[in-house]
Amino acid sequence: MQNTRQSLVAKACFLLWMLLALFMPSLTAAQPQDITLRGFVTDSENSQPLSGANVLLKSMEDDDKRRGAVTSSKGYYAITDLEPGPYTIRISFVGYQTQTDTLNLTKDNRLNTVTYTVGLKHQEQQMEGVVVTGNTGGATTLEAGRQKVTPQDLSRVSTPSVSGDLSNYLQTLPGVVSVGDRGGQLFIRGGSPDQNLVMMDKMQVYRPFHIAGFYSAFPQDLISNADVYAGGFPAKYSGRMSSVIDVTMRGGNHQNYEGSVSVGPFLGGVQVEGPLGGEGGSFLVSGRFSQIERTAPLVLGQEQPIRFGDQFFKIQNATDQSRCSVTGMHTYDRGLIDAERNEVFKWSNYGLGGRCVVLSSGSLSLLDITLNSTYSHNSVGISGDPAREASILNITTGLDLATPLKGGHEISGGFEARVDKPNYSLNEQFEGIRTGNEFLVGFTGYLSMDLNLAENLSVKPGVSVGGSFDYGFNIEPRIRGTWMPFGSEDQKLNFAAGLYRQTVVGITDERDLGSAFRAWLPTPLEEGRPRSIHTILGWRQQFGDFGLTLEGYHKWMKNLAVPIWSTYARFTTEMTPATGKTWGFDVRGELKRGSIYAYIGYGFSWTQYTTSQQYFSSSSQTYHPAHDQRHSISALFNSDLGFADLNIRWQFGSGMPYTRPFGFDSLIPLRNLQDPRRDYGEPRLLFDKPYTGRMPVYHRLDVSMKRKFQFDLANMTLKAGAINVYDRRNLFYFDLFRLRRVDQLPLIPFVAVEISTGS
Amino acid sequence: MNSFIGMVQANHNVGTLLLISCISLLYIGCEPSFDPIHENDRHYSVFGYLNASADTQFVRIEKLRDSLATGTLTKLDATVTLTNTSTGQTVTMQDSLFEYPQGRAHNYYTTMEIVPNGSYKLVVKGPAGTSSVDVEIPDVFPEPQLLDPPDEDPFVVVRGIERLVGAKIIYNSCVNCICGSPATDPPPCPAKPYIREMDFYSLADTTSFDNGIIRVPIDSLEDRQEIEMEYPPNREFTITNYRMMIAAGTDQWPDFIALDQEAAGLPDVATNVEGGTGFLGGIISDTLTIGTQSDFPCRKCPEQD
Repeated sequence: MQNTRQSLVAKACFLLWMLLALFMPSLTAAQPQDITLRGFVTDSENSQPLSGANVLLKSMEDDDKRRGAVTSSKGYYAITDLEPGPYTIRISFVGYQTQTDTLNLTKDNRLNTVTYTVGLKHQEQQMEGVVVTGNTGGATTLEAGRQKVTPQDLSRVSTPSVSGDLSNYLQTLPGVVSVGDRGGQLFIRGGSPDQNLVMMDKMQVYRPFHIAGFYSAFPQDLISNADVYAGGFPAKYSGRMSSVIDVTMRGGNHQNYEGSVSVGPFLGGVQVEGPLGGEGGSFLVSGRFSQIERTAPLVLGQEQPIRFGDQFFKIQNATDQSRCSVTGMHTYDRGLIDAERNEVFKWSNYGLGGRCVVLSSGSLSLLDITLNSTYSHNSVGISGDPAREASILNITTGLDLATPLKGGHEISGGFEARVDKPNYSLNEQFEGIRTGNEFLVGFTGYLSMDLNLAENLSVKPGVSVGGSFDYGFNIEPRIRGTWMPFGSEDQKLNFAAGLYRQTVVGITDERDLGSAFRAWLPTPLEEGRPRSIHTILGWRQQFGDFGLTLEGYHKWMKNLAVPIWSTYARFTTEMTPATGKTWGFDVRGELKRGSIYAYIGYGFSWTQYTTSQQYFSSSSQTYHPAHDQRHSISALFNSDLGFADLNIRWQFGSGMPYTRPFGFDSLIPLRNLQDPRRDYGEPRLLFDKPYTGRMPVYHRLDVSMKRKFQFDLANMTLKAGAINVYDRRNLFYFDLFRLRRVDQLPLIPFVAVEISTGS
Repeated sequence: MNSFIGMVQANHNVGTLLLISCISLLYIGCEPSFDPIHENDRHYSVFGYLNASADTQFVRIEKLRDSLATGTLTKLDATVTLTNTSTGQTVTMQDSLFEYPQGRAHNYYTTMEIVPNGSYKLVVKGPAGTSSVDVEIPDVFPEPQLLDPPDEDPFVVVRGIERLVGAKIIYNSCVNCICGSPATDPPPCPAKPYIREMDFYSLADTTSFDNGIIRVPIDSLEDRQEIEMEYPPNREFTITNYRMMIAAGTDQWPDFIALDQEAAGLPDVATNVEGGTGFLGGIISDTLTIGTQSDFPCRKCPEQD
């Protein structure tokens, strides 16, 4: 065993050496003879990076010499191969004042690099009633599974609070399935919740979604931007096999002190921010606490025994060359998913991380250095004496580098070292997995290129290489690309493909959708780690202010751990390997005209698992799992009515699979020739093959209106509306063993208020 | 001004559109009907066996329940008949309601003679529908032999049966009262000593040979340890006698040794009931006494007389 480990360490060292050897010549090659202009585009108040800002550079000597760039999610841009001379630079971003400046580019240092960092001002600071248009953010920014999400996107989806939330927004996207409005579980394009990599400032968050499905650890007020990959994610992400939700939190206002207090039927919160230390330093502190347990009898006329909340802080120092921050977070959730079952679910997350995004002074590289630690715990059972509990501690450190090359190409790479320490006590829920305390060490390195092969074709090949003591090495090739056949951003063909593996999996009893319990552990299957192959092909078309995207995808999955179906009423279940297939397509249309925003999205999805379980008279079973929602429609409508902003959301989902019961009896085990006079028998559920039934369709209408009142000392935002306006009795899940339906939330009228200072 | 009027008109149009949309949605927002039970032709659950060696036959018959909650109605509202298909003789079985810790259950019984090699049909008829099952009774088989070699555990040899469906060692035992003992440690004496019947065995422990011989080993020491666990700790108990019951069936019986418990529980796997679920088998059994301990009779305290 010792020799094996030494061998693995040697291989890991060799691997890292190979990566560096590959990477360093590229760095050298990246030293340009011409000038490179680079920098960050940020919000002038809080230095949050503006992802997707346009940077246009025009030579003042030759009108035909124009170059442009779009900022990355870090707000970073770089334009290479520039000749010395005077230029005008124009930086624009939706919702912000466009900034124009003149630059005289000269070769005045070894790297011939000019750094130009800009803080853009909000348009609202300049004039009232500004109409926000543009294509940054929005559902049709979808590019081969990747969607950029901005705080403005979140504001378009009504929650029973003043501000929006990422969780609520994600549920409007085709291909994202939420099994209900409780439990905080999202299935993305056929993948299960444990296959989603969710990151906050690069900290991995295991249970980010609150027990009330509207909310998560990512409220609109706190996020800067998010990259959501429904699949086909690039090589820099590893360890998950379905999707990535990479959220960058914003920093505090480094110019003025601001604060807000908000309250609504579900949630109340306090938020304070302001300058800290020298120029560019800021802090942001937020705390939110659920109110629904108290307000439900009044608002809903029924008990809602759930409690949740989160606390967040970020200390940030931003300069022209760097942005360093320390982020801390805590979330907790506690409650009954089904009020009639005495099973209290609890989960919490703790996270603390440091991150520095730095423009290297010795090279053209952009460095992103992180050190994070997160801890997640969840349990289920009687309060104070949980029947099952599981936790995981994760410590990760990493370094990413991105270097511009001649010709507008870019090379990026990095490595990550991580330790995972899962701990679980399952009290016989899963046969063969009772208690455990694991210690997993792993390394990941990646290398990817952003190649502009032609003026209208860019390809981003990459490879992720990982190693761990338990599973050895793996290589995961990935590719993403864009082709603009007509040379315009208005028509784009996007594609992505890749291989993905997952080391730590979340085991749950998927027979019971009402269960929000999940145990993180190395895969319990002897067959090895789960893996998947994604392929995505999409087309994006812009017709003036109407955008349209059509995207198809296929996902193949192997070594999924699924429970064996049992007819006996008990918690114990065995896990068995399954392969999975998902395919589908999304169609999204989005109109941004004047003060009107309208969006409609349709998603078709088909997911099938095949297991080796030998029951039901054949050696393998093929079925559509409980999250196989075949059709979904989301519609949003926002408009400024003059006196208030109107926000309407309608959601439709076709019925999800469930296992149809025939009835119940008590089985007398005649294998032991038991005598009916002496034995009552074992209660048994008689059911058809798993998941052959479909539950009723789901649909819900949410409407709200919001108005902001400005006073001398503070602003007040008032929001009123209703969730589930026509009070549809939507089925949350069907309790198979009790033959009982559990419904989602009824009609919820609400009024929410926020009082804030500052802009 | 024109742009203002245009905005008002636009807002009016939006309002009208919203009103129409809301009315439409109110219409479709009616309660969705949902009947989770899969329509099927299974009406009754039938479990048990007809034993040609027994005087009275007991068969568990229940209507399929609509919840996991155990228990049953006092009256099943069903007529159960048993017919000897060779002779045409039919009897109506009598209902008897048994109490168990988990709830009550209906065990139907009859004293109709079950003959070796016979064929029978049990029919359950009620408002819910009809369930029936055909049962074949095996032929008699030679008396099993108890062998007790000096160097190994004793075993029973069985010959001439189509399928071994039961091999049980039945122990009669009782707990002995330690007279005058404290009330708590050891636990209080039972009011009266009673004989308790316990049986142990697993068909998987048997060994079949190509010449049709089945060997059933006996490990009474291990069984004794298990019996001890059934009684309160620190109690003296007596096994008054133990005997082995061997039951033969036809190939109508599922091969329970090969089937795992999960598979055996599936509604369509180990069943021979038409229009229902469960299993009713036919057996013929033989019981041979293995040992007695009459030298150590069950004791009771004099004051309990």
